[in-house]
Amino acid sequence: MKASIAMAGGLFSLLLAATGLAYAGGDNATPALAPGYGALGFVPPAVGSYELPALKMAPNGNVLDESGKQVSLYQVFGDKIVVFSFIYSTCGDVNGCPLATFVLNRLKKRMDADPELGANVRLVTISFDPEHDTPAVMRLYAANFKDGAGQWRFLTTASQQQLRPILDSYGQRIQREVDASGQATNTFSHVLRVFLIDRQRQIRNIYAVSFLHPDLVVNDIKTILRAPPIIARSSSKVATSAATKYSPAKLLARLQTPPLGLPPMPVPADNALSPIKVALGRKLFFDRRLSLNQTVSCAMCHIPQQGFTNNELATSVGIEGRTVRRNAPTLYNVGYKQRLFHDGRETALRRQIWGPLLNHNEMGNVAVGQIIGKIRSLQDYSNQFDQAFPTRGLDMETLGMAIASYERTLVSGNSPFDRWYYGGEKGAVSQSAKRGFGLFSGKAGCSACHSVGKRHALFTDQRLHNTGIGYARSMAIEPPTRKVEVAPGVVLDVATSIMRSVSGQAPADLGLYEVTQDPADRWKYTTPTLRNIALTAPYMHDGSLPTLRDVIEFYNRGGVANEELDTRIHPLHLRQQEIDDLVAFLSTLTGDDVGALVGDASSAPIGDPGGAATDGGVPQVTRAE
Amino acid sequence: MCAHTIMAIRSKKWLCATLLFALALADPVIVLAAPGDYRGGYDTPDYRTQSEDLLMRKGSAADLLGAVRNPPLGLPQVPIPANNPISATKIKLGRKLFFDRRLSLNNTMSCAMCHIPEQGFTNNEINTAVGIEGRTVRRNTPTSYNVAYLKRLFWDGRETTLEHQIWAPLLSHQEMGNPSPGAVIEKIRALPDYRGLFQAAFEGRGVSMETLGMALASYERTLVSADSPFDRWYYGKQDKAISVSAKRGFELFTGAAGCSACHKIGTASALFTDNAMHNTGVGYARTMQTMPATRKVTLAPGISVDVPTTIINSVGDARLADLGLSEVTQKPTDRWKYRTPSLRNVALTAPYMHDGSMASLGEVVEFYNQGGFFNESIDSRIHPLALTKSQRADLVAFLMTLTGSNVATLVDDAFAAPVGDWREGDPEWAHSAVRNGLGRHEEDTQ
Repeated sequence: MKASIAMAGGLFSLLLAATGLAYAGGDNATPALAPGYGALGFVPPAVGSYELPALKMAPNGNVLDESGKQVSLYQVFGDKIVVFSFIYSTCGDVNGCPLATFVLNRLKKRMDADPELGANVRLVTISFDPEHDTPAVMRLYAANFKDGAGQWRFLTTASQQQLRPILDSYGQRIQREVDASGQATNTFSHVLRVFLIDRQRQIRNIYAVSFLHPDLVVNDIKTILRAPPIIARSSSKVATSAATKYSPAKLLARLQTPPLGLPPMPVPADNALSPIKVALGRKLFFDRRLSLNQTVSCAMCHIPQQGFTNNELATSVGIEGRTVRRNAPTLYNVGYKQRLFHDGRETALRRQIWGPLLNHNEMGNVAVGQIIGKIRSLQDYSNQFDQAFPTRGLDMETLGMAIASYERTLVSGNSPFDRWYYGGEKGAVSQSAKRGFGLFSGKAGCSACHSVGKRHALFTDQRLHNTGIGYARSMAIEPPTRKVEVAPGVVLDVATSIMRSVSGQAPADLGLYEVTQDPADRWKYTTPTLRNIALTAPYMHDGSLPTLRDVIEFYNRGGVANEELDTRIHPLHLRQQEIDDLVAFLSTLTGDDVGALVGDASSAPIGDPGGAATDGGVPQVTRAE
Repeated sequence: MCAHTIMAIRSKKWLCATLLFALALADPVIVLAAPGDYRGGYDTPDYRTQSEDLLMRKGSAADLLGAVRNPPLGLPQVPIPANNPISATKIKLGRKLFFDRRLSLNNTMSCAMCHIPEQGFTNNEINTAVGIEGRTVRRNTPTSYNVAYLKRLFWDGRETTLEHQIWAPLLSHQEMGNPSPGAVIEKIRALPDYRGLFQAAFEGRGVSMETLGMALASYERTLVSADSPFDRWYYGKQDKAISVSAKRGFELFTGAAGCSACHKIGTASALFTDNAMHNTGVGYARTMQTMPATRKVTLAPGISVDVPTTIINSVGDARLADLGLSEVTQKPTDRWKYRTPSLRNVALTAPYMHDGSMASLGEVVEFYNQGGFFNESIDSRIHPLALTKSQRADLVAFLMTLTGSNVATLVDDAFAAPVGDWREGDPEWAHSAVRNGLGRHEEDTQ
């Protein structure tokens, strides 16, 4: 019978694979065996020491079980953690389906031996060759693996029509190979993928040939079992695990009485805040479709979890990995800033967006109309601009006004410093921090530019100053070595000459001069706010100072001398203890609700729901003919 | 030559201008302007430069709003967006902005310096534009004539509205060099001669990204030009309006040569463009073709020499890549597609093609006669035409009949426009340092 011969063929490859022999197939060369067949060559990370974020919802589908009954995938998954593989029984590629089956077999043995695995895991294998792999064939498979505690289900589908949506939704591209005369063969080409699916139906890992190994799968399963259930990814509202979540209305309410230490938020008369605008602005902020190739959103340089900047890069990286000249400024309290960008070239939040939107190295859009046309064509934005801006709808300015409305809600105050200095809470900050503040507003002279007022403090004078950082960069004045963090907590001193030898040329940067063309403005950059400074490393307009200590030592040396150096900058002669105190003080400037703001950002809808394709934003024009 | 004439008889500048203008209409590629500084008192210590050209510009304002409401014969109604209804106040403001060099980073470049009114609202002297401080721009300046009817702006069609088009040249490092929209807007806000103008034109709204674009677009919409000899012949039924050669050219244009497949002519009006994007091979040739060993360089009107390409390359910038529409859509099938320009006033808008690579209409016709430059994505409508020499001459004759009757009026009106940052008789005009309001603060004394 055809099925049994084919089954024999399949089992044969399985046996070969199980004994570790290479299958020569039609080639002369014997292919190297995938790592899954052998011993793992390294110690995997400790269970629970890493995260497996949800990649997407595992799609459902209609399938046939071993008895030929119509069931759904979810019914087969049940309430278990599932290892889900796609195979076809006549597969002769030792690193293809036989590998998947071999690894799942090893997993089954582990499940048989380990009660925790046996009780919580189910293996599911589905064929993508319904013509050949009928339920009867799959029953033969199942019969071989029915003993023991570990459950392993073998599924197929009734037809190509039933199979196709499952393949598409799991991203499986299958192609039946043809021979030289154009006849269809029994061989398929496909990319091997095995899916790890948790109890909430979230795909947590997708294994490929190069790392499908029973040890790694077991490690991942145990990590899932250890961790609390994670947030399901979907576009509907979800609860954050810990911190209070802010809705657009709540974000606005925080502005009614600004946090301790902050003044009332300046709002332009023609752009009063409203929940609709804030929600719309937030949606846009996280929407990667606002870039030329649908990959970069505002949030990808202004990462909420990284202080609304990027803690990992000195200067930003834009579309397709292009180099951006400067460090991404934090968006905390950006609503108070009068001069935007490090060179202060913009004065209105609603206009600022057009810098990154149209910058070739950032979001790469080539025309204003391209973005506006694209948003207009997106179903999930239809009539949102009309609702938010009834007399105007979507135009250059209302796009900026919506995003500005969201950005204005990113206020962060009521820090330990605020509670001590404005709130009178004597114990809110340490003695060291109090000494640090004394230096900050006294001997170290920081508050000359990083201003502190009687009732509130923005820690910026809203001006631009030359401290010498830009001069040093232009004149290539560099220390002999630079610290490079190669892994979290692992920092090496690398010779600057080595770094230069593998780096592109640093682009010229003359600061405010580029805006005013006045030589006196060379290398002047905006005074940033110091609120939440502990969250917004690395520092300076080019991210060249990695830690707060580095910053204070820079100012202690008197910046870098040059003919335009601000007169307020000079060597400070601080002792080590005083530097420690200043660092302690700066660390007290972190607002109290950062977690909630980040949590809100994490629950914001992310553009391109369901992976809908867009057409690249070509302006839609009705043809003349 | 006119400069000396002016020095002698200053009151007759208008006559000089008109004479030059008459010459211009006869030979479309003559340079109208008389460049140079007024050199009176050159040897004195308080000498100040003044442009002769500006002194000559004594045009007369035209009824631009009337032209938009009643476009000349051969043109349809001017499309006006609902959110920017046209008005005389907006037009006047837009015209003032169009000629204002303070809209650039260092107060040297206005829109009119690439879109030169007396050079067909483009530039007849260079292939590709030159921006602030002499920076190289990739493409030829498109004419502003009839720009109101275009659905795709820029050669790669990346913009769809006139109101938004302005931001590309304003913010381009190579063109007007402004670092941000705010730099432009704050500068205009600080200029006393703009006080109240935006509020008057836009019902109380001051200068902003949108109103700046709306004002300029309103002026640009008035540059409609038609009622050409062709229009009077084809729509006006005046049989003698064009020559027999031009009539034959028209037959070829709409027949064997197939031009009107893209350069469309309608029954009641003609835009001479299908507002679509096509690959004719010009862009492909520029990217893929090795340059010939020598190139013709025009040193002076009528005087050309063949210069070895190696010499030209040794003193020039490397050629910039240009992939046309695919830079906008990211689709390989859109490579080297550029928009169909209108052919109205084409006699005035040399050089031709998106890179200005063809100096004369004869060259253009020859290019299409050869079937463009073949490449895998070439438009299916392009193929060798096998036209004879006299047929090609007929086509050129036809194209020469597309010049509108109001060109002199529009240029005259442009000459009457105030030129930002210049006031006649103001000795300080060249040296007024107009900051964009983002520079030093007076209080920096601490």
